[in-house]
Amino acid sequence: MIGSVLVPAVVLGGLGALLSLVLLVAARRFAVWEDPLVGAVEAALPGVNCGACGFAGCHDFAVKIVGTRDDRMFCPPGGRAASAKVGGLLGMAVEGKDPPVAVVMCRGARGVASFAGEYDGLEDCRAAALVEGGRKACPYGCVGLGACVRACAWEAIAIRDGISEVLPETCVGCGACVKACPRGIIRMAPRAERVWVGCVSHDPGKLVRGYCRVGCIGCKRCVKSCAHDAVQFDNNLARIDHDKCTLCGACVATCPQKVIFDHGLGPDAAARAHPPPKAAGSAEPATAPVQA
Amino acid sequence: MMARTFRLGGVHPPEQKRLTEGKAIEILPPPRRVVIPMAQCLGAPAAPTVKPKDAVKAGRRIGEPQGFVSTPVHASISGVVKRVDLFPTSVGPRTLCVEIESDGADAWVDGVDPAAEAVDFSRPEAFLPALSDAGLVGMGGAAFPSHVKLRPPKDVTLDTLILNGAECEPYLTADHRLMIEHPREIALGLRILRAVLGVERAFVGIEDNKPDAIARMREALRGLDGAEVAVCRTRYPQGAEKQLLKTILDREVPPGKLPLHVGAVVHNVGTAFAAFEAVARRKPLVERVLTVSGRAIREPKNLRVRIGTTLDALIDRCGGVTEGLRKVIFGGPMMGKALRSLDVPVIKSTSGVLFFDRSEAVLVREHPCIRCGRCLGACPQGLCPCDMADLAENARYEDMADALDCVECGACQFACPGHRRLMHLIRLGKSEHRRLQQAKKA
Repeated sequence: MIGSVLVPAVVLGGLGALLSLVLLVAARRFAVWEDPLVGAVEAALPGVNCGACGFAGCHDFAVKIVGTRDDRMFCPPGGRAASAKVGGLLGMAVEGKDPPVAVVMCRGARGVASFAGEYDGLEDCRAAALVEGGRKACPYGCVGLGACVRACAWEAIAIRDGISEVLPETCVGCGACVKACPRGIIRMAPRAERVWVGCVSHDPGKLVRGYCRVGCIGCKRCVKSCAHDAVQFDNNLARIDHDKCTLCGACVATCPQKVIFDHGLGPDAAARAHPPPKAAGSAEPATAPVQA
Repeated sequence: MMARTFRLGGVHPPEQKRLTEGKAIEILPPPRRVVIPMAQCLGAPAAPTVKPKDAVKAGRRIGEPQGFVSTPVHASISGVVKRVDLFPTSVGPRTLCVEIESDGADAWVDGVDPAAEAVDFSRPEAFLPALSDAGLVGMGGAAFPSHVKLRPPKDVTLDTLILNGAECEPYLTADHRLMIEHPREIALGLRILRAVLGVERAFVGIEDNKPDAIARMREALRGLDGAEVAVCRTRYPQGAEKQLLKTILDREVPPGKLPLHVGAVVHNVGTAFAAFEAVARRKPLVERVLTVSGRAIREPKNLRVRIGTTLDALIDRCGGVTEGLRKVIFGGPMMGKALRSLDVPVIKSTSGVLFFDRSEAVLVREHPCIRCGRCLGACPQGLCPCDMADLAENARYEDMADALDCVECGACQFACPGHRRLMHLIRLGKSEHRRLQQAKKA
């Protein structure tokens, strides 16, 4: 009677003990030594494996930085805080930066971009690109079917009014949306680069007017308005030279199509390291309040 | 005789050919204006050789081919070049085109004799240059440059030419009418293509829902040694190159290979007709027969139109569209392409223009996959559409190598009881998989 309990208990217990011994030996014998710092560094990182640093994930990044002690390695989502923590752990100064932010180079929301037809295919920008690019008539701008939204692990980008919109407080600058966008209209840029031309169409103005009310028509008024030579113009499209831009806001105010915008995220003009513009005598104040 | 067919898959969508199959081909007079795209074949687009204000005659070469897999483009009407610019076409919203305004004369370039009937078979070596100069492409819809198929690599031996008159897409009747009205020309075209390829055996594959075309083609081929009509069962996609080969010759084209690797070349009957015109009449490919059909067009018709004719001219000729128009498709309903503008021109590969009303353009609400396997049963390539669609839905494009064998016939989606958008998902996966492969190579 008691045997029917004891025998299995002894057999199973013995088997368990034997196998645990095997596991113990295996664990000792095949152990791979890893610097405990790697674990600590990894814990200091955001842990989302977004790949923005250029490595396969947070663990890979930690292994590399512990191994190479390269102070230029940077985790964009972690920003300055993560850099400081990692630097503290490694006992060195790690170059910290503010994470860049995604900027959508299209302002063609519903109501301003003309729609060419109904689209009832898959709700995906890449799929729409296979059938004439979806609803909007513009062949260059935001498709508005949310490939970027699905790519973003941070829920920092959303489709509002048929156009993708970045939530800058949430965006960590990992760049997943840039890779996901089939039209290539999302840029990853330092937050200090605030003024952008929200259009990528190189078409002549007449054509642009045909499909969008907020497209760059190539009137060059922004070029003339800029006292700092910061608005470049090539092939029917204005482009801001951020090294020269002083955030004076003249181009934003003057653009008749309201294509040029200031996302207002980085430091103000006063805080920027740029030397004061040479047009000192001009009536235009270099730090004019920016129109949002 | 029992009609033959291919082994795997296939579906039988409602044929809808009644609308136009009894209507003789009408000739649309040269339009006031044509817009001729430079990209009209698979491969490199042609480069324009005319500039605005140039006077051109019909048949004049206006685009030079760029490379081997590319075809020349010709003016389809006589008149004056108005613009060489980007226009919306069925290929894309911005395609390089030549716009010609008609002078009303419809004069042809020297050497073209639009009424010639005879082919000089004593000099077969002149055929191939004539065909490639004429800018011949596959007229069934894919627009593959014909001269490439007619100049096979040295290491393959060909034994059979197949003319594709299956026309398995619903609605379309252009090839059907061509076979009824011009069987003699098609037979001459067959002899030309046969002479170029140096093969004896030839078949004209026709589905058994076109008994009149079968009878007419049989009559035209009588006395022609080695050429016969192969009657195929009406089953979609019977007209796909690989399926037609399997049906007629019982040969399977290995994945990634072409029919010529198994010793056969397939050309559309429309291409054979164009080959006849190119050789006998010295006339380049500047017009084609197409079907205008659907419930949203008042008078569905088979029309012979000049390449570059814009859709509004077709609509005018067919009595206009009804108010219920919901969708316009270039090609057949299974594989054709929806348009988003009526301001696009007919190109060499346009086998039909379909105007659908609400009842035809209906998209049923999608339901989840119930693992019934009907898509597997429908796939003529023996693939597993539901699994490929799942992979695409989950963005696992790197695992979708199978999709490269997909011929995009759409049979799976037609068969799916849950109305899943299988075709679109697979096409997405296919293009993304190719992109990943290229990125890996680079």
